[in-house]
Amino acid sequence: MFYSIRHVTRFRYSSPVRESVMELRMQPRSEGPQSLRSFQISTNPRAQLYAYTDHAGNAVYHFNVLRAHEELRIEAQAVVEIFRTQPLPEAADTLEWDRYNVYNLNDDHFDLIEPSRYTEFSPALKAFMAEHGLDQPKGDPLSALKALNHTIYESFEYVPGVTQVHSLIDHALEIRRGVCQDFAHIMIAVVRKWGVPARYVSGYLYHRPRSDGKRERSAQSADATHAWVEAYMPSLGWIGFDPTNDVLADERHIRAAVGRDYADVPPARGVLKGVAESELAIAVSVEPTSAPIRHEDFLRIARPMATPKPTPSMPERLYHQQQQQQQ
Amino acid sequence: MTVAAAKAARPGLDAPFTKYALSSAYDEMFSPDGTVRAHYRTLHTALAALPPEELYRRQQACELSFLHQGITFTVYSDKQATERIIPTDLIPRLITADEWAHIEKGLKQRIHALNLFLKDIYNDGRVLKDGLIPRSMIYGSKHYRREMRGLSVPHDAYVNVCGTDLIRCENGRFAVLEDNLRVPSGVSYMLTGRDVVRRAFPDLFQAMRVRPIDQYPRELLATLRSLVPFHEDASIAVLTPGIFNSAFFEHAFLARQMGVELVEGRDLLVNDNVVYARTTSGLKRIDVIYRRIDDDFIDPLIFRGDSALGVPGLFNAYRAGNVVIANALGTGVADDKAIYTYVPRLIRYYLSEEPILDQIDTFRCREKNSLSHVLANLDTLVVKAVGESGGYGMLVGPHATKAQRENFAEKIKADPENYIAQPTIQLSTAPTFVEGGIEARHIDLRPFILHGEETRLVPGAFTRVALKRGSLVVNSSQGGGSKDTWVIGDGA
Amino acid sequence: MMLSRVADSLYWMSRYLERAEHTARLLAVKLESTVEQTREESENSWLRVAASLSSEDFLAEKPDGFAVTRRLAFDHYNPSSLVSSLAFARDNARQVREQLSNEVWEYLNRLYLRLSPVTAEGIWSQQPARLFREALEEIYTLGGVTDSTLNHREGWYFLEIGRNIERAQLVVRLLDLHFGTARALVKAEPSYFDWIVLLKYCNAFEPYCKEYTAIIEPEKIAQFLLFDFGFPHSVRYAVDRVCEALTQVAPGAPPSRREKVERLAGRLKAMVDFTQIDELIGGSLSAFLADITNQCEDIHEAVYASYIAYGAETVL
Repeated sequence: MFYSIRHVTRFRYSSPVRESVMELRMQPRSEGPQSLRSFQISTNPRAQLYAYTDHAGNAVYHFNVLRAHEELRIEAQAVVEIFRTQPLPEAADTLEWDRYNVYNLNDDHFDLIEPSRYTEFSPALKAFMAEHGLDQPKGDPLSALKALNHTIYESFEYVPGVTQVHSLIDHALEIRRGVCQDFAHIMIAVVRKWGVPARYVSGYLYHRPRSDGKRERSAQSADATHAWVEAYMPSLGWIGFDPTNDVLADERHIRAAVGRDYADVPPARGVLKGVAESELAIAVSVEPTSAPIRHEDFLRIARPMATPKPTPSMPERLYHQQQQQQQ
Repeated sequence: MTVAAAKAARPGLDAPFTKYALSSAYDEMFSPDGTVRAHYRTLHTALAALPPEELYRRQQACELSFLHQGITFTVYSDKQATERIIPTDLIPRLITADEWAHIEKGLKQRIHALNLFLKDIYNDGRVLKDGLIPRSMIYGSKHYRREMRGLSVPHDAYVNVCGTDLIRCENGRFAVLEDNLRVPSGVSYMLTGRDVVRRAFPDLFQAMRVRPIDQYPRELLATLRSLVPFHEDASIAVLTPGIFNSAFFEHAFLARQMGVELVEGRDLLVNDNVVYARTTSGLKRIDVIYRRIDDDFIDPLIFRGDSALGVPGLFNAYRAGNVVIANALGTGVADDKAIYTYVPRLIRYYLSEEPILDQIDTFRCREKNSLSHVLANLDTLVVKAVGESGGYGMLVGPHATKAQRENFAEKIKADPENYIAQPTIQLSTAPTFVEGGIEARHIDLRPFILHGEETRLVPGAFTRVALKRGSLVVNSSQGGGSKDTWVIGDGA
Repeated sequence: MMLSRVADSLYWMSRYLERAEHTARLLAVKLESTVEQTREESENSWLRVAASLSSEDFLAEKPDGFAVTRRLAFDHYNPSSLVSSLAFARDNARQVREQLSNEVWEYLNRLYLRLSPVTAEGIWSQQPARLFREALEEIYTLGGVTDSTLNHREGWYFLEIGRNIERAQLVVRLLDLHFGTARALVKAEPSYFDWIVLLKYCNAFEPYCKEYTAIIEPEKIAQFLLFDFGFPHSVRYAVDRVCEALTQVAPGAPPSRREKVERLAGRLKAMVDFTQIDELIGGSLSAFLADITNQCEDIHEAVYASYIAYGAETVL
């Protein structure tokens, strides 16, 4: 199965800004059943792009724009091929839990079983777990995680814009509403509490028209990137869970970057100079063929779901920060 | 010599030492029986012969000179910032050539091991796989920088400037108390202190053949230059948080002494992965940055996004090898007070050598047995938060009230991994001029180690002195002063 | 090479010192001359001092000598007071401590530490003029120390630019109060004494007498303070120094970036070089003074646009 992905990000500023510096994590990963066929990024104003691979194996592109600009537009285009994988068993075997003791000692997994900034084991999470009988996982790991996936789906309402990019899970836990990022963080926090390595996946989802006429929840916000969870099973490897849509990740989930949580893998982050209000628009299209995309300007103003606004450097902070500790 | 010794002014009895009290602590000048240690005789005789008024006059002149030169640090209260000088005690602290040789060898060994450790944890993680150090201590440290994984740094030298705090224990041996591997400060006090003390005691200085330290800025420059292949042409800058930083004087001082630019983050910009300074004539490329800013603030793109002190894009330029940052980022993981307890093991592990310098016995509260021991003996222990420095977040058990101890016990129980405890060590005492007389005050010792292509030490240190009688806290933010440190020549 | 931020600090350090010097001199001269004036004359000339260095709402308070002195000299909340100017000068110097000689820094630091704690109440009963005389002498000495211990290279020329732009503007402001639109701020016409005091404000009394004898004529005072080519406190002299200094800064900058600054400075120089006072008296002097002030502003902005706050993309 081939997908063509087009991801446009546009910042508009109320007055000219200078010296923008940006980092992008938008390139689909090429591993396992997913294979990257082509990828390109263009920016306007134009900039020289640089790339590196971060410590989690994500491809990172970065660039800077010195001159004053009122708009910055980033367009990423990718073609990805995804192979169908062997279907998973209904359940893992009962000895699976014992195998974690060995695997959790592994270097690669250490960061993924400890709470991180957005996956804190907070009192609100503790209460949520108690409320839904999640203190201990029930059954084998795969069954327990599937059940958790479903519990989160059932417990929260999907409402774009009720939480912010930098919201902690407590916010969504309190209002019982949120978006994919919140659901992924909550699931990761619970899974890690159970001692299962879990990571955050940022990527894209192809919303296939379904025979039953229903749509996935996340399709309500077609202009956003998607996020879900991967958990490690010693005998099955990494398995993707999408609590937003109550499904396991399959050949429609296109993985771009993985990390401990959102903070490790924002699709775009930046810093600029100048004082201006900024307006962010994101548009994402995922098409199963490589047919040309028809609408030249298909940007719609969207809430900043997955991309923080660039931080202006603020002179007022200077005084306070200069007083930092010296050894 | 026996005659002179018999007539020597005795501690607690003869002027000017009538208030000089010997305690269980090792005294630098007097043996426990009150006789003068051999290497202190010249100084002792000079002090005994000097009228107190004259000493007072020289002390005043020295303090005024510091104030006028602006050798100050800044103390912040609610609204006001006050500039204070670090009180400098005129009476030098003496170290023999043999003692120094031992310290130097031990410190070189230590920095060597710590650099190998840093290289290891940011690359292969051999020490973790071998189970020498628990992973949680590394990955759980707030100073561990995942961004540094797999990056190579010139000569594998992560720590280029290190300030290690040593103390002399009751048994007379030097022991390491703490390593400062991020942005150690105090070297400017070592250098400026030397100037005024040499001026106050020119004859003594000459007679005791004190080894020079003025070459420190040149050695630092050479160390920084050694980090790039084109040494002589390297364009070097000292990166400071700015004039409101307590150590700003030192940043400016070092830049001037080395003849390099002193820059703030806002002077620099990154374009196409290259770092430039904004000058009146245009942009000038920068090759090496001696940074005195914490990791967190150095690049708002990668680390703290609200940092106004850093340079956006700097880390990526660093990753690309287009600029060298000294010290490297992420070195703080190795000066954590909990890692400290492992350093002797690290020395054996990486160098297959026995540690040359002693360390203080330390209890890790993360370990159950240690925790219960610490909680049961809070009245005799010093407890410290692992990630802090500057005397903050610490409890000195014997000097604390019952309420303070109970309060602190709760903090330890809430987060045992964050605390270590050590027995209360009587830092050694040295003659110090106070309120018209000469008394014994507790001191420590911070030599500076430079490490690039080679490892260098100048024979001197920043000696901190607790000016309050009986106090063991020498930090300048907590009322400590400084002393000039004289490493004296053989046979002087 | 010189960092733009360093040039900025040197420039402002020098401007603030010039303002401190000017303030100290005005207060010293005014306090010394009070004894020779009638009460009413004295009140009016205090108002002129106030008007030359502070905003108009302060004038509305009808301040007396004590209030003016307190406000202009010792008010830490007034950003242009003597102590504030010294504090700003010192802050800027501290920023670039490593660029200054020890002597310059120590002298300025001492001066600040000495004057900062002084209050008007504390000195008013004991010959307040003396304090300002002493401060003035120390500022002059600092000028001499600067000239003789600092390398006369780029940094020193930025000091020159700052000092002389400030000086030109301060002298023009005084002239405006006596000849121009600002004259209306003080109701009474300047008296004979006021003209002498004006010269003294600019250190110009004796040099003027040498040039024009002791006969005091407003027109000649204006001629002297505006157009004398050798007198260090004349506008023309200050403009000459700015032009000269501009040729010495930013040695590596391409001609395209120098062009605008040097053109603006050259235009002002031509204006003060080739204008005569009789063309202005009775008509356009007000406009002429305003023009000088504006052109100084333009030069300031051009220096910033070319050497200090330029867009990085323009120099790659």
